[in-house]
Amino acid sequence: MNALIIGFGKMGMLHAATLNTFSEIKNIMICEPSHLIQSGLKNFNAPFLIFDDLEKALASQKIDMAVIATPTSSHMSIFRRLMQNSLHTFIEKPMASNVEEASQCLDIWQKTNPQPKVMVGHCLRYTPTFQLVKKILDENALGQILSFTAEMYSPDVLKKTKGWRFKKGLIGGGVLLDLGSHLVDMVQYLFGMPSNVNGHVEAIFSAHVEDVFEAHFDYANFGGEVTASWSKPEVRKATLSIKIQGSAGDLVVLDDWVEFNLKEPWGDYVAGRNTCSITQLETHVPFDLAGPMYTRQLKDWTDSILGNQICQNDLYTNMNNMVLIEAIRESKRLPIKIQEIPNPLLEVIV
Amino acid sequence: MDQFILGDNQFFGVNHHSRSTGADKARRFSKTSEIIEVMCAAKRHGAGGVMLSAHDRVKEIIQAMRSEPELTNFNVYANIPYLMKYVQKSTQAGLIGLVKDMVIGQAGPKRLYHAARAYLKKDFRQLLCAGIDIEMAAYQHFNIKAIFLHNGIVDLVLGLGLVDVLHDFDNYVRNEYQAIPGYGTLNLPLCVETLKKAGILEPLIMAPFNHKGFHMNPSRLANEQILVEGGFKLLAMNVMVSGGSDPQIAFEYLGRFPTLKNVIIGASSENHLAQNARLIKEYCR
Repeated sequence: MNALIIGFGKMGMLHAATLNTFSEIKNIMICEPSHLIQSGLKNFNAPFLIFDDLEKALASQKIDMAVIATPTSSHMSIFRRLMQNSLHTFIEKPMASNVEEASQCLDIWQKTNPQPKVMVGHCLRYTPTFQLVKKILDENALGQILSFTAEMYSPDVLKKTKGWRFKKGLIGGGVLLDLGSHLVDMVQYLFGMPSNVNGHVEAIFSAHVEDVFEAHFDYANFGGEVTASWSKPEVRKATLSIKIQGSAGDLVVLDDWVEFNLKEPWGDYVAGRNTCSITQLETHVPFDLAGPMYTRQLKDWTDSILGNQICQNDLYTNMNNMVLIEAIRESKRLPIKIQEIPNPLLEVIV
Repeated sequence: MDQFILGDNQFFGVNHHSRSTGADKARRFSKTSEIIEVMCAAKRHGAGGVMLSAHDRVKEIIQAMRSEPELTNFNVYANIPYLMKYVQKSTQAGLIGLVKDMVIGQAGPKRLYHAARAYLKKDFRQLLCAGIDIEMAAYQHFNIKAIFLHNGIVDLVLGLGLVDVLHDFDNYVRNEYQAIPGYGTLNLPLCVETLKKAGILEPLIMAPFNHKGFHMNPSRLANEQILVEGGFKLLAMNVMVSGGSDPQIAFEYLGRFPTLKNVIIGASSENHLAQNARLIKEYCR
């Protein structure tokens, strides 16, 4: 297959490098308007065709799949163009700037024939610690969930900053669409969609976007606190942690550590305290750049294309992610009722 | 090349086994004197040098090392760049903003002309050299034995197939710093193969090597096979899986590979250093 990487920033570079090691990928093409970055690739004799314009890239040769790794505000228009060619598409998270754009993406995809495989890059679903927690919850090892707290912190914004992430017109929100997108997706992955969301956002350093948000998610029988900030100097790098209290145990998970107390034994785990570090859970990947979860994610996407299977992180799931993000932004401490978008792809899996 | 090199992850809060353990250690080592004390203890137990990442604190650590008579001949193995710093900057300002910041914000008066000229000419091969100089400035030429390119960069370059980056790095480090160029990687077989293609003979490679196979991609077996085939010098890292292994078992495993003679270990107590030194002597002869 031939793959086109649109946008050669941090994530575009990472996905290009990883896909380039896959035996299924024959050629990688790069679409990047920056002459500086194009020069860098050419200086080092990068083995890729490089284009400064999407139309030129699409006209150049047969392309099977594309990665959108551009600023979020451009995702929808690029996606629309790719769907005209029915290209399998990976969209770096978040899917779009807001619910309206996300909804348009979903609508465009539904009308595309044949329907290509589309995945949104929420790589944390491919982290073994969170996958273990998902299994613990799915098999009711903690009993009835009573409450949870989910937090994500990073030291990325500790002063007034200029990049595209900090301009409201370009992205539509700060930490909510950045760390928040990961955090909300993880909450959705583990607990499903809440019935109500009540939250608020705050700016600390940024002039146009929020640096912190706090929200309460209401479910039928329990509730959870969801908080993120990218202005935490005390953490070394982005860290997601979740604590869950259940009727038959409790649990704490970070991306590299799970600790849980069980009233009853479950599988290989004993009643009482159990701990698992990433060093016990991690498995090999064909190529590791910045963490095995990125490779697993792209492998899932390419496998779904080649085997015509369902992939995780589809557009419906991410439409719901956008619904929750927008609810947190709009809530202003008042409860907002959540209307879940039904996912017909999950019905196919069942 | 020293047989036993002290690692620095514990000084900066990196622990793959447990992030909270890492954070505890980072608090302890926020005092530079504590770091120097561990280095002195490591030297007493036979370590020949220390790996130092280009962390913001490396300048003050090097200054403290200079003032410590016990560390006069203690080698420094630089690991550049300190990736977290750049990941954070690229999140804030994008890739172009990152390059601009490197040239204008970090080059300093001595390197500004060199870096700015390369930037204006969009000459990334010169920018790579300027980047090495910028990262190495904090080390003040103190006992530099080898300069490692961080595994995050090496693996990116391997994935993108930018063999020329490896070539340029190798030449520049040898010619300008009279140091051994080293390559960090989490993809050892691919790294060996790519360096061979680049014509870089008998390279020094730092990669995970442990009985649990942690971070040994694409498989433990593939890593073992490439080590047996040879053609490069391995500096084994992650040998005790961030403290998640029994040291005796960890070193018995290393002892199965006669060509493996160099190990980097991030111990922080006198007891651990003594134990590791004994095991290295026994199993990595």
